[in-house]
Amino acid sequence: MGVLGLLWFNWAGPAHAQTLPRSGAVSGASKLSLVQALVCEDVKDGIPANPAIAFSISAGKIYCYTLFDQIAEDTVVYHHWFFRDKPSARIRLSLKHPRWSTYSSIQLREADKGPWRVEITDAGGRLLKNLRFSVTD
Amino acid sequence: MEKVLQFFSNFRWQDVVDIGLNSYILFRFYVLFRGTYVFRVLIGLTMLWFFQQIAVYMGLIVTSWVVQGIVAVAALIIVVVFRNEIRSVLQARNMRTILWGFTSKTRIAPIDIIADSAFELARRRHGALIVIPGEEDIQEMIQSGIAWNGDISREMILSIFFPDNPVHDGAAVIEGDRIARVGAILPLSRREDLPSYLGTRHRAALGLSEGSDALVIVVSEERGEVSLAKGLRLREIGSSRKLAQKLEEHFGVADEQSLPLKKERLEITTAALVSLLFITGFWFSISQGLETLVTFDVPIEYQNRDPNMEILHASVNAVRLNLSGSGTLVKSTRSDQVRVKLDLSTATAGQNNFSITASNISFPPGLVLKNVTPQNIVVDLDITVKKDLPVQVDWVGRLPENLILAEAAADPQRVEIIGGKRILENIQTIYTEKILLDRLREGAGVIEVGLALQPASLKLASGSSEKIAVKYLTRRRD
Repeated sequence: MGVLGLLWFNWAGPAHAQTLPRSGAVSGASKLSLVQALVCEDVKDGIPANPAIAFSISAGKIYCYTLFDQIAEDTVVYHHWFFRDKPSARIRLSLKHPRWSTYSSIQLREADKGPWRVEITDAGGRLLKNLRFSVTD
Repeated sequence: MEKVLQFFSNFRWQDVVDIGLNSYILFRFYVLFRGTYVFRVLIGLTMLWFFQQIAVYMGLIVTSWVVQGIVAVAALIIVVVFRNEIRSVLQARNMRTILWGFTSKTRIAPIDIIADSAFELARRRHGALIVIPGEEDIQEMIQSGIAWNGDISREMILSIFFPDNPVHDGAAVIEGDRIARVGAILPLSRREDLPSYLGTRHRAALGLSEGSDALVIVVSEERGEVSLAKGLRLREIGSSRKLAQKLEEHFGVADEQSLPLKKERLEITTAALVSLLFITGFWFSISQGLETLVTFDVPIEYQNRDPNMEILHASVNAVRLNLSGSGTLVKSTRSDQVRVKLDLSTATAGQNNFSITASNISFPPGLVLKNVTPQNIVVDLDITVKKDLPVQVDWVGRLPENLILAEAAADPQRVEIIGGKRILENIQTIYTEKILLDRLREGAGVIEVGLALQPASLKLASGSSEKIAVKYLTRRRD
């Protein structure tokens, strides 16, 4: 399984910035707000392109894009990639205060056709989102 | 000697019951149907069967086929043609008679009634002719007459020979304890040495007695005398006691027991012995023939499984049994008569080891278990649980290049699944049956699809929908 984890830092502006207590990473993670999560064909300049739920194997690569808000302090999140309920990759991604977007990606091969899902969890293992999609012909 | 001892050591009490029971059934068939046409035809069929066996033994191919065909067809015909006789035999008897009662074939005529009636007729000067057949068949010697089949009574005999009765000039024929025929015409004797005073009635009596072993009682109308025709002799009888004595001699009634009854007892005893010998021979031919080995692949039947558990896997689904027995027994054994049962009442969740022993196997009596392969099997059991799982659509195929599947949602989003605990622990998602992307067009739509439950042991809990509605939205690629 060709999996490539990438960290994308994108300060999304102060619009949603809040003054948060700095009480440690776990505390910061618990206040974390997942604004957007999707699987897409590409991420260009921090913007996801062609989000979808079925991807052709010919795309070669797919991305899981996540945008977080209310990041009290620097922390991490995880993208767990599962193929047919079997763990395929676990990617650790860093988040910066106060708003951050990041993504991970996998390289597709012929054997990867089938149903996939990506579980997005915070540093404490709390499930934030479960994205389901398929890789097809 | 050793073989004889070995044989008796293998002889079970069930075999004795087997032979005894079937001998008795055969014997009862004889008792119930003897004397009927059914029995005679059955005897004929049995002889045909023996004839066929001999034909097979001698290698007479066509003969054996023909006889086999006749026996097969005749067995069918006997039931159809003789259904009334069979029904009357079974209906006319109660259960006690069918199972162990005896109905006497030989019925003794009421001698005293006949004798007294004859002398009463003589006293009244009413002519009479009473025929009592012996062993020989006299049907062909007697002409016309009217079938009567009535019980013998004094009044009835007097009535038959009453002068105004249309049948009084004919003879009454007695069979057993019944008057079988009245108004019968007997052949006249052609002897010329008979006294001139003897009339037609006496000549008729002698005509029959000369040609058969029948006894004929003649009552003279003119002289009021009773005579008895037997063989070539015609004797006058002086008293009813004397007539009764002569009748007893004719019937063969001894002081204590009649000869016919003795004969009947002998016949019944012989039939019982023949039945016993026949069934014993038949039993030996089946169970003690040449030893033949046969192999059965028998599926394992599981019993007493905890309803909260299910079988996940067994190391084998069937065991191979080697059985031996006589060729006839082996040939007649059907695969459904051989069974292997495994008691799961002590089984626990996880892997359970069982040994297949003789107590697990059932097969027809007379066969011997030689070998079991494999002797040990492993059965993997799991506790049945319910689990609520999300539904994910399984897309396949390919969308047109210009389209993207932007959204899709399953309804219901979750279903409750029943299955083995250890199986369900590793399942986090239930997938739908595959949906072909090529079918989708631009815009929104709904597709109804079933669930692909894998492994097949999984089941939907009652109340969970079997069909999933998939709402989707496609749009043009940017």
